[in-house]
Amino acid sequence: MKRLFCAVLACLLLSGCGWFEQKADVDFWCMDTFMNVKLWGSGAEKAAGELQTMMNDLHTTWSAANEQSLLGKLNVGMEVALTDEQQAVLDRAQALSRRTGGAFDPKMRAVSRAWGFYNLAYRVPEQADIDAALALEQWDLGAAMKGYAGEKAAAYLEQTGVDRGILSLGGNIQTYGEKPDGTPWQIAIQNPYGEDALGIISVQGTKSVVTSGSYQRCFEANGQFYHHILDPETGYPADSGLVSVTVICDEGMTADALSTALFVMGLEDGVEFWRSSDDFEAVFVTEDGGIYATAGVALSGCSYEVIQ
Amino acid sequence: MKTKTWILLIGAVLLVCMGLSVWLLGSGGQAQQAQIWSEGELKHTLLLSVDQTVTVESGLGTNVVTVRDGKIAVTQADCPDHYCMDRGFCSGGAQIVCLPNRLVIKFVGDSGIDGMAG
Repeated sequence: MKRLFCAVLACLLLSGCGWFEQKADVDFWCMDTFMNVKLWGSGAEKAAGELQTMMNDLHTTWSAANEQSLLGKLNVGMEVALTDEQQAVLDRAQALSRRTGGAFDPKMRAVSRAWGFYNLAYRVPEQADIDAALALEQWDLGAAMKGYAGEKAAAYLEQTGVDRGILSLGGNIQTYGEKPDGTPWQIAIQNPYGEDALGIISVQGTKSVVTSGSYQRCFEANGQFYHHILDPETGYPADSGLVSVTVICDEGMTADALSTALFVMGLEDGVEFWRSSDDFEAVFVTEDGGIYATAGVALSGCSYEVIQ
Repeated sequence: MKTKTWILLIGAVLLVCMGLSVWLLGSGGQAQQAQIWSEGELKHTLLLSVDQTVTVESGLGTNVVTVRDGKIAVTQADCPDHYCMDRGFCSGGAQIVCLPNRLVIKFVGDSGIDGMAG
């Protein structure tokens, strides 16, 4: 009896130390970016492997740079039989474009390419080249696909024994489940001016947190600053007075597309858009260093203005 | 076995668990070390308490990594965008990434942040 008691006690102590919980922490490069998957719970290692395969498959299908991909084929006018999932993704992209009045545009491939954002060979194109590229209306879901990938990963994890996880998909954060002690996930917003974090957002449960910033994929030419978030109206980098927009949303694809759209809209129009929506929260950082968070954001570590 | 032995054994297990808890859960504050990964391989593990400079060369390019005052940064890079350098000196949180050169600096013993959006 005493022996049994001791064995049970030892098991309890050990499990309390987290010894029996499986954990996976996997890094890989995919979608031209760095990804990290951390999972806790039964079958974590296997699930992390499955997620890596999922990301690679999504890249193969949706990469706009690859002529053999689904988008590559659509962009040269080929007839392609779409799966239900593929049709749904394209429909959602177009719905998001309509919803944002075109501020998110899933057909900017040729324009991005003209600016050299595809191969890091940055250049300022001629106006005629921009006009021609805008007219081509080639598919590019680069501003939505990592978000979709996070959302799809979370849906997959629902079917596994994994209790919780956090995915960093090239700066897109996808959380899954709750921490064991019930405390929220702590997601830092990158400081556009370097040096650690700007502030920390607390999110509970399964969420997508996506930041679009002009500090990524940017360059200077002739004393002018150019970045990769293009205004679909002009074909030029969006000049909206913002340096970054972070969106928190249940749906990863929506979070991703809206972070781009809100960046293009700017603070004033972005706030109006938020007021007429009920499915996301946002943090805006302006060029003059101002931080504005919508009422539902739990932001700490910085001073900011709350938008009601 | 005697009761005394059992008490000692349980005591030892308790101590080990307490030690582990402190080690696993209590590592708040700033990172103590940073790992430099190049093309998926761990190249260096650096103590952030020791000021130093290392040059990391891969088939893709070269990055110079500097540790100063408990923080780490990429201070020189031959990548086209220098995005890795723009992060500046960091002491924890999300990894510093140089995409073109496939370089990742990861912090060991984290600062309570689960991830960084950017």
